[in-house]
Formats: sequence, C-alpha cells, structure tokens
Amino acid sequence: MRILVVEDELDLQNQVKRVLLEAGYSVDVASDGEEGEFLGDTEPYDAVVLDLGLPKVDGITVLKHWRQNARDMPVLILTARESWNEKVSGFDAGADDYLTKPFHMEELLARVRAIIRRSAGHASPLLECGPVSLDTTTGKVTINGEGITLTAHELKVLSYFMHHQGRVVSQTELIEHIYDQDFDRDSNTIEVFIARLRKKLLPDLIKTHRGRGYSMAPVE
Amino acid sequence: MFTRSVSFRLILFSIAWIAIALVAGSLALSQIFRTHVENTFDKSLYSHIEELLSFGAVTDGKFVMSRHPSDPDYVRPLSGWYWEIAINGEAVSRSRSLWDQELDLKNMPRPKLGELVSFSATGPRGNAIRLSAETFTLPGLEDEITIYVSGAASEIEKTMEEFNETLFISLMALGFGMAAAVLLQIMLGLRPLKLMQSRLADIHAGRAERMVGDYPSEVEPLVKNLNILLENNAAVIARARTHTGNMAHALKTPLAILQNEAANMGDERCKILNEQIAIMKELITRHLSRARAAGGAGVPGLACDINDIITPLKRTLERIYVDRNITITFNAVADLKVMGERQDLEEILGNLMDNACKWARSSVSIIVRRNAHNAIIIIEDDGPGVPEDKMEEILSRGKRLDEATPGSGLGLNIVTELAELYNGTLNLGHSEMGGLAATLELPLIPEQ
Repeated sequence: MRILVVEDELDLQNQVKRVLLEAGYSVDVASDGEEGEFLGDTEPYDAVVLDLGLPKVDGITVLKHWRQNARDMPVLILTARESWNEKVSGFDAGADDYLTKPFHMEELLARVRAIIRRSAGHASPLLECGPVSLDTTTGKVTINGEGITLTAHELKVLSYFMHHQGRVVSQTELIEHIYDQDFDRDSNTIEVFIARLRKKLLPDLIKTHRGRGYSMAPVE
Repeated sequence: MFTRSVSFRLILFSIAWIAIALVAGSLALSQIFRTHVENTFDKSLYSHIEELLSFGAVTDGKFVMSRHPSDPDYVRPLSGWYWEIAINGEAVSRSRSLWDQELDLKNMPRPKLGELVSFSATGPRGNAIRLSAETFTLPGLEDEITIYVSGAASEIEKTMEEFNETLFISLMALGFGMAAAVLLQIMLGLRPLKLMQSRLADIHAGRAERMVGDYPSEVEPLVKNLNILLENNAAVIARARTHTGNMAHALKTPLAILQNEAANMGDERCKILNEQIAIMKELITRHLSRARAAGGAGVPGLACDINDIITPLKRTLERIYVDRNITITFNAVADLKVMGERQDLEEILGNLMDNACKWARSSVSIIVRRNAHNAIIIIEDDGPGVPEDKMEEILSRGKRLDEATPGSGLGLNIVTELAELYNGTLNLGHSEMGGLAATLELPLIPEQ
C-alpha cells in the first residue's frame, strides 16, 4: 500500500512518514500543495494524508482538484483547523476522514487503515479470503486460525491482494502500489514475493493470468 | 422623555408660536375694528349735532330750540340716546329721553371752539354711552354753546361681540389648520429618521446586514457613515478571528510534533509531556472558541437558518461515523432563523451532534421546533445516557465522563458558553431513546 503525505512542516512530515513506514506502507512525501497535487494526479496512491494549510496551493483546493479529475483515492485531512465549519468544507471537498492536530500516531494509523479498507469496499477491519485472514489493524496474518510470519514486503503484496480480491492486478499496478516513488523497481522481485506467499500460505491462493497479472479469490 | 424628542420640541415650539401670533393678531384686529365701529358711530352722532344746531336759534340774546329732533330714540326715556345743549356748563336744553336726569357734564370734557370730541362715558342710571360734543358760537349769543349727543354704547358692544365671535371662530379654525400642517410637516420631515430607526432595528435583529434605501441628502451621509462603521466593525472582527485562528493553528503543529516525539521516549517523561500537551491543546481550543464567540455575539446583522447549519453537519457526521452505521434523523422546519454568527452556531450544534453520535448505539434524532421566541433543538441518542448527578458536572466543567471516548471533554462546556453568549440555554435530560437528550434553545430573529 502506497501513501502520499502532504505536509509542509518537515519535522511532522518525517514523523508521519516514519510511522507509516514502520506500519508497512510505502510513503511519498510532498511539502507544498503544488507538488502534492502533481503527485496525486500522476501516481496511484492507496491513501493520502493531506494538510490543509499548505504553501502555494491550499489543501482544500488540491483535494477538490483531485476529485474533479476523478482521482478517488481515500484522503485523510490532517490539520490544526478544528472548527466544524472547516470539517464540513473538508468533507464536502471529498475528504474521507479528518484528524486534528495534535494527534496520537496510533489514531492516525487507525484512520489511514480504515480509509484504505473502506475505499476497497470492506466494512470490517478483518479481511478474509478462504482460510486466509488479515487483520488490517495489527497486520497479523492467519491461515485456518494459525499465525503466519511474513516479511514486510510479503505483507505489502498480500495486503494489496486482500484489499482487491476477485480482480486481476497487473504487475505494474502491484509495483506502483508497493514501492514508493524513489524505489528501484524490479518486476522479478514481485514474482519472488508471490512465490513465497504461495509457499507460506496456499499454493493456489494467488492465480497467475498470463500476460495480464495475478488475482486472488477464495479457493473453491 | 418627551422633552428629548425632536418632534415633540418642534411641535411644541410651532404650536406656541402659532398661539401667540393668533392671540396677538386677534387683539390687534379687534382693536382696529373697534376704532372703526366707534368712528362710524361718532359720525352718526355728529350728524345729530349738526341737526340740533340747525334747530337752535337765538332770540333776545337767548338760545332757544325751534323744534326737537324727531328721532324716537331721543324721546324714549333713558334709551341711551340723548342730547343736551349747554352754555358755560349749564344745560339749556335736553332731549326728552333724559327724562328728569341730566348728563354729568362736569365730568366730561368740554371741547374748545370748533373742536369736535368723542368719548365714552357713563350715562344716567349707570349705562355706558358714547358721546360726541362740539362747541359753537352763534350770532347774537354772547356765550359759546356746547352740544352733546350720545348713543347707547351697547350698540357698539353688540357689534363688537358679533365681530369678536366671528374673529374667534375663524382664528381658531386657522390655528387648528396650522397646527395640523405643522404636525404633518414634522411627520413627513422626520420620516427618514423613522425609516433609519426601523432599518437599524432590522440590522440589530439580524434581518439586514446594512442600511439600504433612499434617504434625503441631509440624512444620507449619516446612513453612509453607519454602513461604513458596520463594515469596519465586521472587518475588525474578521481580522481578530483570523489572527486568533492563525495563532491557534500555528501552535498546534509544533504540539503535534512534540507529542509524536514524546511517544518515542516511552517512559514517565512521555506521560508528563503528553498530559501537558493535552492541556495546551484544550486551552487553545477553549480560548480560540471564546475569542471567536466574544467577537461575534452582539454584532448586529447576523442571522442563520438552523436548517442550513444542521444539514451539512448531519452530512459530515454521517461520513465521520460511517463505520458505526449511525442513522441520524432530522426533521427540518422551514425558515427557522436565529440570531448568531454562523460559525459559532456550527460549533454549538456540531459539538452537540458529535457528542450524540459518539455515544449512540445506532441512531441519533434531531428534532427542531419553535415557540414564540425561541428555536428549540432537541438532540437525542440511544446510547447509555448520563446519570442525573453527573449532568451538572459535564455542563459546568466540560469534564470527560469516560476518558475512553476520544475527543475533547470541553465540547459541552464550550457549547454552554457559546449558547449563553447568544442568550440561549442548554439543558440535558433523559431521552426516550435511552441516551442523553440535549435541549438547546436559541432566540429567534424577531418577526418584523
């Protein structure tokens, strides 16, 4: 899962980035509205953490611009502005959640997980696919109730498939959502991760669609 | 109070002036008319003097009357119409009407030769009479003779009475007419002021934001300046709010950074830091709300439709609590306008509605009503509710009852403060749905 953090205060930006990285997300950062808007326009993010008081272009304008251009990734507004008036205009501009500063990092993480899950159409934080289940809150993976240990990258790949079950995901899409902007992308590593997941979980959990990509669906 | 009224003063002075002018005018007119009537009367008396003179003759050095005037007035006893001819103050002949009396010649002026005098005097039996007298010399008569002719003064008085009566009636009519004209003029003249007054009342009641309409050139600068004042006032408040807001927001990001760094320390110090940061956050929130509210309350020209506030809040809360499947029902009542600044009302209602959603199991109900003076907003939830003895506490101190529920415990405290600023009230009670029922009353914009 790849997240964009748009925040002009660099200390806070680093803190948020660090926490999200620790939680297993890939993170891109932008320090002003213009850069944030461009990244959101061009890169496929699974969620955005957006400050409102940004240099160059303010957050609400950026958010409205994305929504007008059918960029529908979930957006969490992270702002010092806590009046109801500002909350209403944030949600009306297309925000999915709203968190006011100062905040607890656990709260931020919980909300980021929730908006990603909701935008993929899952109501419960526990994602299941046949015997495999993923708790999005803790990142714990089980098969038939038994805990499985996965590496950070394996978890990222599994998590993306679990969120988008029943749909063919191309290798490019997978790479875009798993690695951040600056990562040296190599499609071979994806194949390695998928092979390891099949081995650790179920052999036919992830199907290969030749030339198109992979899909995950409950095993019949 | 009346003495401070411009209309009262104008009316008082105008009417006093009209009254003085009319009284003085009527006295003058009456006097002029009296002179005229007396002159006419005197002229007729004079013609009798001439008649009497023509009847007089001198025989053997003595004055005799060849005959008496035929006018019956001079015959009827004590009619007031008399004549008397005197030589050296002694009556030599007199009219029959004098009967056995004489004119009191001693107390009357005796005209010099050739002089005609007219005067008022008292006749026999004390009746007022008007006299004319002239002194002549007759050939063959050594002494000068003086002829006195009188008429009843009552005739003059009668004419005067009639005249005065007519004069009084006409002047009264004129006076009333002028007073009415003055009233009308003042009413019309001061109408722009009345209009201004009602427009200002509109602004104060929140029905208008600035003074509109055409005003006469004398009043227009005042209206213009009032509008400038209103705009300045609004601008100053907006600026003050922006500054307070900016400061509050600027403080929060460093607080967030501190809090996040503290979390990494992971010991006792982290706890202390977190507590202090939480206190600072609450203080910022509280003072920001207060500063904003203190600027907004009592500013004229603020009116908000309750529906326009609740509807977006409902929409927003439904998104915030989307995971909990909370149903918010709201019965909208059309045209429910209350006095107050929109953002403050949003804070009041937003906090109350948010509170209800936080505690609700599955549904929140918002009912809006009105009575004669207030809009009544009842916000209920089906949550666990609050015990009776704790209600006072949450209102007064804004204390969080359950620390496990996230969010500022100051919510209700701020709501109470804001509601009071707008002369509203907040009461907590038990809802039939099971949870808390918060009843907020806010004054409606008075009907025009």
